[in-house]
Amino acid sequence: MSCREQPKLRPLSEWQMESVRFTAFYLQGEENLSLRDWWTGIVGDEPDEETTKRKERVTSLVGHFGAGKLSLESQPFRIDLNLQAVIAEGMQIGGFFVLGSFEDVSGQFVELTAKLLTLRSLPSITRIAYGAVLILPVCDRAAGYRQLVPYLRSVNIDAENILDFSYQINRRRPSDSQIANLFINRLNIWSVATIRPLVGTPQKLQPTKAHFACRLQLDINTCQEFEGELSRKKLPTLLDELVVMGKEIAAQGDIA
Amino acid sequence: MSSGATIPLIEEHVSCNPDSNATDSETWKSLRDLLSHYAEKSQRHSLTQQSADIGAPHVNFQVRFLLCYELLCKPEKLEQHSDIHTTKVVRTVVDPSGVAESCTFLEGYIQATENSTTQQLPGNDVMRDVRRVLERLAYLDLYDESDDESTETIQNLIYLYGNFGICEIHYLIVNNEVAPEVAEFVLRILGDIDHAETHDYRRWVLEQVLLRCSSPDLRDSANIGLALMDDPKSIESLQSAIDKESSPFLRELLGKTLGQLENTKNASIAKEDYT
Repeated sequence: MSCREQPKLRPLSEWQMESVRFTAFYLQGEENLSLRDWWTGIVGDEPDEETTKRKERVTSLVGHFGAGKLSLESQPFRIDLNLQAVIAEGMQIGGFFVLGSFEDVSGQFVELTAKLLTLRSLPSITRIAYGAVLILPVCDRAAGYRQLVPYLRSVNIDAENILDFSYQINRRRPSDSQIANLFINRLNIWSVATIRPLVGTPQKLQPTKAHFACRLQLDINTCQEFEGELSRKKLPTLLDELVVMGKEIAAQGDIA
Repeated sequence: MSSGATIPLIEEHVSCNPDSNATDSETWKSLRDLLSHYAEKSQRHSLTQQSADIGAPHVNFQVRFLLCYELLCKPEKLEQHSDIHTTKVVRTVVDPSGVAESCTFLEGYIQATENSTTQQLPGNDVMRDVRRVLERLAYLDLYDESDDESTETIQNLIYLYGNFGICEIHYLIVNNEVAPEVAEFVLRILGDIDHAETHDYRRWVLEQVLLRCSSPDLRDSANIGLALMDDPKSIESLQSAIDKESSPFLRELLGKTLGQLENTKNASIAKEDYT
């Protein structure tokens, strides 16, 4: 799209994924989670690195996956599966390092996560979250703000005269999963990101041309007020529901 | 309040939700007023200005501002670190007595929203702040009824750092890195806080202390914490603790707590049946 073109909602396929995350909060403070077995079960290979911070009770396994780095981390009451673009190694779109298109990467990541959710040694889950950082490259900062206009229809964006814009909102919805009293937090944060690579020797680094992109951070999660365990059978459906909500926001912007 | 070594923590909330008629500017006005209040108190107007300047519009927004000051220490340097989601105001202080080394306190913390699952705080802040606060509590009369500040200090640490704070507290207690009387005091408070985000973890810590700690005083305090929490999910752990408890006196106390939790559970079931 040219810099002067009237901005409109862009096809979902144009959003690129910088990182994606699945988080599960579990009921009891298990100390011996089978993280390594989980990794093998979902990736089918050994991790490249394994680190344990005994004091913080944090264990982390890391390995390459597709165009990114996958990590599986456990800490008290929380398990995170993260996939992140690798700077200088990953795919580059509009100057930004990304994992690939939102639609493609999201599908692969959901497959991985679904495998995790079917593992029998997974503790009882009380809350889950699907998070992602998406970018949509634009020509310059003002074009980025103009591009946000069709996505944020309730906000008056003075694209030519503003800096450091950040809009965050949570429009909560009841879940379609048939689980009583379960609501979904649909947190989304909109901004325009800038990246300015440096080139040269470590002694003399020169900034090069800046790149700009609309940035959307998603944090779609089940509400923490929900009491008790989320049904294991329903977890994959629930995950799909969160992902669909994320896609809806990326496609249509901030809607109720 | 006793000596100048105390670290009182003051907490205020300014909140705005989509259902209310409050506008963003009203939210920020409230925040500015709040910060002005504290800045005036501590004669640091620059803090007000710096914090108020980040007034990006947020619709569903909760501001949690904690001010932490120490009477003996003088502010030397104010820094502000911010990113899209959080703003922290950090103060570097020096202890004029020269006993303590220069240190940095987390002064203010503005959190994005209460429903976010994004991890926002680095572990080092938590470890340092929790350790320092617990160390200083050892010099205070923790059970002085005219002084709630020790209780509030622990509560605010938990509001501020959530499960990370609980994790550090648990580590310090089970590794005997905190004075026994402070550990007992903190365990009781863990059971007496209204904070949903950390409820499960606090309960788990109390249960672990009850089941695994060799000190009967700590087990006693964990039992009090569980009684205060009054969560029937602890029934199983309490039954296990009673089975292995060597002190007859403590076993009796555990039995009382177990009875209380069973009553709570039955009352809850009866209420559900009724509705």
